[in-house]
Amino acid sequence: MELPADRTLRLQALARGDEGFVLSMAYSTQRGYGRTHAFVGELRIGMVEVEVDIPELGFAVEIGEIELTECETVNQFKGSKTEPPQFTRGYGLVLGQSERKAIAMSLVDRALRWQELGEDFTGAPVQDEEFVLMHCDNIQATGFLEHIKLPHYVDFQAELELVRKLRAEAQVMREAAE
Amino acid sequence: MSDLGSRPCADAYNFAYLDEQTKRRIRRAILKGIAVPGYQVPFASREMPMPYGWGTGGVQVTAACLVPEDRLKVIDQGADDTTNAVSIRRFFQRTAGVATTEATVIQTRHRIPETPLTDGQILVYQVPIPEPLRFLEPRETETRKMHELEEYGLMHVKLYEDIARHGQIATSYAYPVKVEGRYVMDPSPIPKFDNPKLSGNPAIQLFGAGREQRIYALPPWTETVSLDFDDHPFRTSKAPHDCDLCGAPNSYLDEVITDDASGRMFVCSDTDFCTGRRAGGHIGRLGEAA
Repeated sequence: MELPADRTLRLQALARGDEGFVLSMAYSTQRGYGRTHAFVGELRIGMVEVEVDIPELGFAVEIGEIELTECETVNQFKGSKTEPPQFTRGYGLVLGQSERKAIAMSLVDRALRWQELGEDFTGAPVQDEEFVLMHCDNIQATGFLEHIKLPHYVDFQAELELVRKLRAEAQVMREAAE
Repeated sequence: MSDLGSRPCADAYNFAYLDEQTKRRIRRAILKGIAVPGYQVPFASREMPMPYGWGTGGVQVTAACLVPEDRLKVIDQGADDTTNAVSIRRFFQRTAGVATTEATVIQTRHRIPETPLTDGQILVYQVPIPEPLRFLEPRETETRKMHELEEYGLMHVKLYEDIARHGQIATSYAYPVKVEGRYVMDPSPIPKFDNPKLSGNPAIQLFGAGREQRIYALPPWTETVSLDFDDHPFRTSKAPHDCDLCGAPNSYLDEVITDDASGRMFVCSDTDFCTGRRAGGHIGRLGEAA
């Protein structure tokens, strides 16, 4: 993933993102961390055909259907230094029937658009593109978290020797002071 | 290290699992890494049939390096018989049919073997976090700039603060090195005991980080310097014992609790090295004659 990301890259990452993570990020905007209030403009579930463009054939071939949930939010926006007051939008498109993730994604999408809309960065996690995009992939997160189960006794031993040495030196210092 | 011999790989897999186009892309990244020692080359990391964080980067680098004549060794924590090493070795036996002794390619997690490597060998490291500055600056966008500008002041401040607070540099593994006077590099979480072996090594050293999508390299005979200060020079560290099985005085040791009354033994973390010494008649405090 190349950062800074454009909106299409952000939407791709969020569509693949972990539902729980995206939900919590969206919830944090509702509670005021990077606040934008969203109205649902569109929320729908449906089957779409998946076509693959095969250059050798010169036409697209339908290989199947998938279920999608799409959400478009209309967000309050009082204007900024660069934009007059108007409504703004957030977008969510997710695999399967998941209104919760689609709505959450559109809130996060909207919050991440602060720069293009001339809003201030308030330090809210959801406004931080690198933070959100680098940590929303649950395959990566799960793998890295669960690797803690693997043995680490070599680096633990190194840390153990260091702590023993520091404690021994601290002990000598304490005794010298008494 | 057991000699399982060369086995035919299952026909369903391309040699070493990855398709040839992917291997080419990884080889390009490796070549770029070798051309710019210590520089982290972004690459299009593939999803592997194992979790991120379990060696997906190392596995992809190994897959891109392997040829059918290779003999592959896989170690984790220095040992041939740890779960991650066994799984990865089996994976390549199944998908590449490569024998695993007298290695030409060694994939490792957290150690450099005790036995000096030789010209013609490739050592592949599994890397969890390739960025040495990550714990000082979490943003990749910032750390890439810092490398570009050779702006390593933050790292030296961190090392200085360690000395001010603890009287010494309080980093015991993944100890950062400077490569040929240019890039600061994370050697992966090897104990700092292994750091001197990074420098001037006749083998090719390749580092693969799958989740973070980075490859970097040390070509043979590259000079690396463990960061330090003139008045606080870098020192290696290990448990102050000999190996209880083979008596080796200079190998890196694991501490093993043997009972619930503070009984413990210290044994070589490099199982192959320890076994070889015992076979050669060396016996430690708790060892038995072979």
